[in-house]
Amino acid sequence: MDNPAGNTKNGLGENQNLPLSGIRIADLTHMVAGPYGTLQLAYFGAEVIKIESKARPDTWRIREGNKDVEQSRPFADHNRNKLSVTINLKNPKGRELAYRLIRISDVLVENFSAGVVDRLGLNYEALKPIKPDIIMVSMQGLGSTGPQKNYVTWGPSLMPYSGLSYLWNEPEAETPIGSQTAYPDYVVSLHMAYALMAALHYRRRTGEGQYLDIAQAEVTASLIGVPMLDYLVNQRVAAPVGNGSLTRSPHGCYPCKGEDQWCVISVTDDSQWPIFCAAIGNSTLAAHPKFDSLLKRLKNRKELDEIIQQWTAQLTPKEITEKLQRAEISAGSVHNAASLSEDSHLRERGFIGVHEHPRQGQLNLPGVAATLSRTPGKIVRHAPLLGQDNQYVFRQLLGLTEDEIEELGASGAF
Amino acid sequence: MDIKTHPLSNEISSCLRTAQDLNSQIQLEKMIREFTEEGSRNQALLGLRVLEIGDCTGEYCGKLLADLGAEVIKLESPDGSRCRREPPFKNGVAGPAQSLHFLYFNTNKKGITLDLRNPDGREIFRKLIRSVDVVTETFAPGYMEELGLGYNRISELNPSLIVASITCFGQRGPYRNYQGSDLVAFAMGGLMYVSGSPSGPPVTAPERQAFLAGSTYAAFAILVALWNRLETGSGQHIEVSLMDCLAAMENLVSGKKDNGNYPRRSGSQHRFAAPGTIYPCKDGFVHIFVSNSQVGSWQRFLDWVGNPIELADPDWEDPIYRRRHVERIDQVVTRHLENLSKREIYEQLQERHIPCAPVNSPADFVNDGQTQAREFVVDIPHPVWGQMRFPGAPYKMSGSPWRYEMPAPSLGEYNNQIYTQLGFSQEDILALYASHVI
Repeated sequence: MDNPAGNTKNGLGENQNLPLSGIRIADLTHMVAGPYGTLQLAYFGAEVIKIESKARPDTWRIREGNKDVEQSRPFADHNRNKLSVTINLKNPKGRELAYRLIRISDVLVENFSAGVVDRLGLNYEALKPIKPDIIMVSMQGLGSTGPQKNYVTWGPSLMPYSGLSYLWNEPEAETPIGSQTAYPDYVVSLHMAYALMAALHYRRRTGEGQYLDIAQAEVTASLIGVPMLDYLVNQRVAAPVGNGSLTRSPHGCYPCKGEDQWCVISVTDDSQWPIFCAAIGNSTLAAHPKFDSLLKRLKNRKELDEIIQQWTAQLTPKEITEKLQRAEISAGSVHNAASLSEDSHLRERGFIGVHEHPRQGQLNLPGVAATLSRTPGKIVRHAPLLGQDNQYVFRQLLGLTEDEIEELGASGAF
Repeated sequence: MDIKTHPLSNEISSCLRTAQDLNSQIQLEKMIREFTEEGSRNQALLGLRVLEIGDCTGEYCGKLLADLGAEVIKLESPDGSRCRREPPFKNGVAGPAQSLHFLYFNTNKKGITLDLRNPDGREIFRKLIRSVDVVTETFAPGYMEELGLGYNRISELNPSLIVASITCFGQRGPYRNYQGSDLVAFAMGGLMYVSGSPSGPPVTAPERQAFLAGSTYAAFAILVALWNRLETGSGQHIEVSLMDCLAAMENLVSGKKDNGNYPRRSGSQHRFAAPGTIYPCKDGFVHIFVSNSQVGSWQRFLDWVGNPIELADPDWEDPIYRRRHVERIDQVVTRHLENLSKREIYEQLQERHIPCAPVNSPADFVNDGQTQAREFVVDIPHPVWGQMRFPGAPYKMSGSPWRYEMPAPSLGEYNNQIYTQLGFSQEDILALYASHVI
């Protein structure tokens, strides 16, 4: 096979502006757990090529019941800076195209159900002869081995499975409540981005690629490692603590003025207690015999919270935050999606930006979550339209002629 | 070992060629140090030296780096980190060496003490900074500058230094001086509002997820900055804001929210899936998730519950209709699950390729057949407690695996090793102890 574009020099790119330029990632992941991880590398210049097909575009494109694959805002959020090619992996010629692309890539990432890459001829054993130093990342819900490897999970299922939902609750609740979010999808993706960077460093030093088997459930379990350890060491099953704390009081969430408006307050220690009381205009509370030590405040938490609620109910979350922060007490608003998007801090930091999408118009989108002073991440292009980069990839990267491309198209390879 | 067969031989010789400026000299010193150090060579971050300062906010970042082979030096004040006092404790008995929190987050790290408020301490810090690649810190913005140890000052001593500042609100913007905490960051980041029961207050996530998410992002960003340093030789300052890390998730910013139509609390009920929440069953609870993006899953679900007449109307084929009337689906599900066990439901639905999970406690997860088959829990030796079980690798890397090498350090356990390396004699170290500098 010709390789006119050349390899990516073992991942060491030309010295361009963005720190990861020169790293090429063939990205088979769809939905969130996967794409959100490759997004982080794309922010810093990695060339992430999303491999989709016309028959099976990334499911995230049609998540909200869209018929049009270009109308999904979540997709537009999670796939910025990436390229899209359509390759039909079930077609032998399509598979050949994928092999050619992998041959000039540094990384292949996939989050199919277990066994799919085996059937497609795209598992690590199959790829090693094609690209000996490839780094391959698999991220099945329960891992690529074990008796339940074929079980299907989505982000929301990982929380109950790993023990997170069990702990995500009020202390006295009779039934598990949990969260409607897909939090694991995001945080697992960040772990993937980290582990992948570590593997790239390892390859740079040793020349060796490797296989990363990321069980999303195990990453999620690592996030509650302390209760896990409590069970392993003490045989104790931790109970939920809700918004409370075992070492701080007051520490909780309180209703504010307005419909479904809330604030949070966290008072660190005894020295902050009288300052807090003064800030809420109730200095006499500081010496109240039921609350004058952390021990007593933890014991009489409910009674104390009721007193605090009487104060918070008269003010907005923003007013409470400002009053308490002025006294150097940790407090904040419980932001909903609307107040979050208007938050002056995020706006002033330039974290929320307006981005143009060719089919969706102007979108408010979040930015890069860490700022690197010399080589900041950048948003250089909108999320790709389906197959938008076929020509660039097939012609420029893979060196195919127009005739070859036409023939492949006619045979259903893309 | 011959320098030519050393894994770093190429980099060492290229540094030897270009060792002219201060930067290259520091690189060279570092590589020679690595060359003389023993240890397994198949760790991804071998040779990376990290100095971790601050509170529990950034502990997980250091853990992620240490577990993949970095030498992480945890710097504490001479009276010890507050994190040593975090519950839970071994046998439920509080004590300076009993914290399971401290053990979980600080294995594989070396611990030293140093008082940064003391001028001699700061002088030692400036020496130390020349021998490390990365500093992670979690102080209030401006505190390191007050000590004369801000990024601009210390990067003069070591231009290739990477400093990651991990705080609730970052170093810039109107809230930068706000007092943070995990609860406040999680609330301000937007994920708390949509978590909890619709009839109750928002409920924050367990186990300080803001700290963990921010620390993970910091670890990733550090490796990006290191990648750049390999090209340019220059370090940089990384600013991580926990609020940003959370606000970027869950399409909270990008999602539609016209006329107050933004996501509210609904327990575990997902925005699109129906059924899509936690249900009671014979011996506990299960989570079932039937979404519109899984072809045929609704029909497979209907077959499983016996195609009840209540769900026979063609309207139910529309996922938006299903979500709008989910309580009627819930009635069918609850009735069907009454006499089935978690295990039965889990297996029957998984056989039908419908995402389902038992609601596991941490104990249930540890004892699950899948967790055991994959050996997620590992046996580790502890110097005082003997053999013990410990949560292991969150990701299995075939070439450069996750490691457990040593327990969390006792207070100042590595003072001798690290300060000797910096050129202090035993007499010097004794004097530093006596004057509470370390």
